[in-house]
Amino acid sequence: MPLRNNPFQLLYFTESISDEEYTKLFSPVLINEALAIFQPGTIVLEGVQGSGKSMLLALLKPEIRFAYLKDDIPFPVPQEFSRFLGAGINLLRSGAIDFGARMAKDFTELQCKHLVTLFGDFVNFWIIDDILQGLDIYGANQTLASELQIDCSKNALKRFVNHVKSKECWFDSLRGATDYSSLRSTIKKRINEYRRFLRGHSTINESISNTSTIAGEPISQVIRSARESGVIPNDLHVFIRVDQCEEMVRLEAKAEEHDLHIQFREVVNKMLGTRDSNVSYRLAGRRYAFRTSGETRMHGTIASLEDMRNFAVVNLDEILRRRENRKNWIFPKFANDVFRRRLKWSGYKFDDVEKELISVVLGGSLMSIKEKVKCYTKNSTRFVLQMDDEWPLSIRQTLLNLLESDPLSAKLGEAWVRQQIKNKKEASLEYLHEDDYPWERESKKWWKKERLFLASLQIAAAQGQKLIWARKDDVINLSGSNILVFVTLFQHIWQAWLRSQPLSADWSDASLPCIESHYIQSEGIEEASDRWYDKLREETEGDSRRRFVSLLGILFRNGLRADKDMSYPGHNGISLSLNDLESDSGVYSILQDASVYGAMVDMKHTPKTKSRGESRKWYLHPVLAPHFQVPAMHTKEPMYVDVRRVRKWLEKAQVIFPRETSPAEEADE
Amino acid sequence: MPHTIAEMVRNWSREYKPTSTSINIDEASVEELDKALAAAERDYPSEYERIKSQIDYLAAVLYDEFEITKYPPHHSYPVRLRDWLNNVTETSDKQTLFTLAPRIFFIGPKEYLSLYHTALNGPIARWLIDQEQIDITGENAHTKLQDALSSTWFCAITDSMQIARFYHVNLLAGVDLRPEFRLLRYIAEASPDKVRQEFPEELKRKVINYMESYSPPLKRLVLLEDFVATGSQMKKTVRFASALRLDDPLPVFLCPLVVCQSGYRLAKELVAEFSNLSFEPTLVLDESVILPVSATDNEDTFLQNLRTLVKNTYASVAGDSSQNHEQAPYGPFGFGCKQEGGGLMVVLYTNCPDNTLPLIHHRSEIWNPLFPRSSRV
Repeated sequence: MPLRNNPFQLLYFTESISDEEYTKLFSPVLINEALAIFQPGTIVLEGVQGSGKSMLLALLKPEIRFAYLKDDIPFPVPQEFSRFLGAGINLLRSGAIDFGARMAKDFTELQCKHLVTLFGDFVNFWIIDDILQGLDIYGANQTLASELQIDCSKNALKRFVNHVKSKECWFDSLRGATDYSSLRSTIKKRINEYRRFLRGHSTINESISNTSTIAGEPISQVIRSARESGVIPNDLHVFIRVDQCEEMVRLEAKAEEHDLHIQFREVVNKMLGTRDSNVSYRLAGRRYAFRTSGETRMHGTIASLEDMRNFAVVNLDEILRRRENRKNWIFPKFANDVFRRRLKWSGYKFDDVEKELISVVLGGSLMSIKEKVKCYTKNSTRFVLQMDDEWPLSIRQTLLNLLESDPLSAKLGEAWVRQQIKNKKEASLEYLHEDDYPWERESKKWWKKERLFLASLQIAAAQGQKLIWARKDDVINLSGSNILVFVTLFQHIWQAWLRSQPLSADWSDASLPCIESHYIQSEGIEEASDRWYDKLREETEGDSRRRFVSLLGILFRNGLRADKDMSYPGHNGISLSLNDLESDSGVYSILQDASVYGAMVDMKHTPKTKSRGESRKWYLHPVLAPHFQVPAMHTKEPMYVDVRRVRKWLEKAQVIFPRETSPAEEADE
Repeated sequence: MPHTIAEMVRNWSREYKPTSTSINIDEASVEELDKALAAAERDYPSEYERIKSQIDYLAAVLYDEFEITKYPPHHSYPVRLRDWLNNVTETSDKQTLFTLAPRIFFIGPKEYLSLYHTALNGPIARWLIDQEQIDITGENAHTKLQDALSSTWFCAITDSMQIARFYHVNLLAGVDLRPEFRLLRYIAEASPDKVRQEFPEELKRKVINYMESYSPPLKRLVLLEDFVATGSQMKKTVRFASALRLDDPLPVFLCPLVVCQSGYRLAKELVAEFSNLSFEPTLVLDESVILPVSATDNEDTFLQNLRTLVKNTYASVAGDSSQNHEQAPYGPFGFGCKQEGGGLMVVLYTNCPDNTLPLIHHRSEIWNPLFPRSSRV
């Protein structure tokens, strides 16, 4: 690959790379945190777009396992967890979502149910075909077959076919299958018939319509038959992947637009509800894709799925999220590994022992706020301080003197003076002296730390400069523990760097570049932030969500800029009590969706006053910080708001319609 | 885009001027919030970054199609853009040129293919339906329209109209000869030989004979032109074609693919002059592609700045004609600015019209054009 290419040009890898490339690009850092995926029991793998769900699930594919063996790279799953056979379906790639194209406005309830049944049958047969394909791969490779004790001999397969055919779940649909090869072609034929149907060819063949199977049942029976016939041993786990589950939510939303209540999710829920010990499902999708109340019903029943009993949840967002102790934060390690693998794959040559590769490429791990302020005040410091005329001259002079040598400290001093005046502690101002600035004292360490960014933000705004984002720490923080955001940020940083190269640059040099200019890094980061903001529009109800995010962006930016005494440095987020939130499901679901679709991040919040009860706080996703020119970090107390205030914002921004108020609420108003 | 331009845009964009800072969201009305949200959309990316993205995109998908600069010694678009911006030294002037770059109305080959197609299926089909009085709800409407097409002669006014492509795109077949009517008119009228005074009429008779003897006979003529600005090139030719047969005037349809306002007005005058002439263009360019010579009401700042720049740089754009081989431009606003009221901001993938602002297309010893024009004379 010529080095002129951007190693981060491709954002999504799982669908576009070969199995061999996967072994080079997949980062195993998360495996230890998600070992539940390789143990029996059904797992719902949750995570925002690009959190790495599909890459992780791909480890279950026989082709990938074979690729590791072929390349002589150790299979990254610990040996004690690696006895499994995997198969599955990607709802997007398989074309299953094209069932949406077969919906008609005038569908009756019966027709809606029929379509869902066909969808379930298609998913069944697709997965069974994938199981058999997996057996073929293992059967063709003696090393893998003996490692997993898989017997794909002629006799075993013959027994297997007899067992399969003897099960009652097929409704005579396997009548033509006399041996393994005809079993495979019968299944293929049925899938092809569905493909014809999904491409718009007339209606589905009546023979298929009359023999449609129950969601999940044939899968269980095929696996049972494989065990009974000795093709797979009893202790070999079978994991069935169902990837891109959020596509079902999208399909259902599309149906709702036509007032059709088509519950595609019921099919998958039915599979999970069978509680068959022979098979464990792995469902990947965004948070809430399965668990929204009322939507976990099983197809053809009124029974609901029960969290923990029918499935356990592995939440990648939670695994990657930064905790109080930064040392335990796994994301930087994950990002560094992904970064290293991308560069190596692109042809760059570097020393493998180099641990801090990102810092090497970005010319350091940190650009301090002081250094950034130097850039904002490069030409003049004229607008940095906004002192009131009634302040004592000596104080103004002291701050002006400080401004020359340290504009950041002078700005903090201005805020400190304002706070003293506001709190009627003018007396303390008399002791202001050049040798001992109170806000620089050790006792004020935290006061200062919490306001450093805000001070820099106000300086940049006053000087008419954009905030600078640069070096490794900024990139990691702006990524918000999302690997897709991290790769997007680097895609644009690299692009900005490529643009900065003269046409005569030496493109054959494979040594690692150092993108030293913080302006180039910042340009790329801003581009990525703008792109992420634009992208919000692409998802279901994306326009409204984007509008809400924009409203919050303006609210935070204006508030922080106007907070001259820096009393509220944490007002780049909002906190709501859960009790309050539950009183307005409309507002609650908008906030939840904002997190699910990567527009915001939410976390538990312990409010200052106990009376508020259990609370959650929401911040704009860090990657949007450059777009709105607000801080990415979460410091101090967020803005305490109630659900009525949020509703008013949403109504005013025309994101939701005003609801009818009850007389009691009116009186309350 | 060359790194020097990227660097320049980076410097321009570091100035931070959010326009939505004053609003108090809790107290704002719905309308005020709506306005603030709309303004916030314009804050980021900055104006120049947005223009840069637009230029990058258009350069890749459109500007690369400009035929004049396809081969050396001409440079690629990004390099021409850099040199064009470097014609001026003031930052504000560079910003004006940079803003102008993506606002130039560039008509590429794909757009022309669509225009060929649209011309036939729109204006021409409507004219034929009128001519033959076809009932479009009737069962045999399609056959009748096909018959009408077979008895219609499609010809170009000048050689810039690629008449063969028009035939190919629309799957028209049959007529072997497709002369350029401007040339016919020239041969007919420009003969200096007094002995052959009769020649114009003789040539007209020959043209009519060709049409009548064709199988099936060509009963009508459609005159096509790729681009008409003031219409000075087509005027005499359309008159010549409209007067081919005086006793039983031949139906003629004038169909420019793209026409400017002044050309549109001229065509209307010609229609008033000849009862057998009809006219309907495929695309009429509006005022947004014209830089008026003098300021108009509610004009945006960009046009004001551009007008000043056009005037101030004219000496450099024109250069010293004794030192270069280029013909001097007709003025700061280009050819026909009197009729058009200003200079065009239009470039065709085949060439740049001389009605376009010379600072876009003219080369002098001290001015590098963005889209160099290949001059006819």
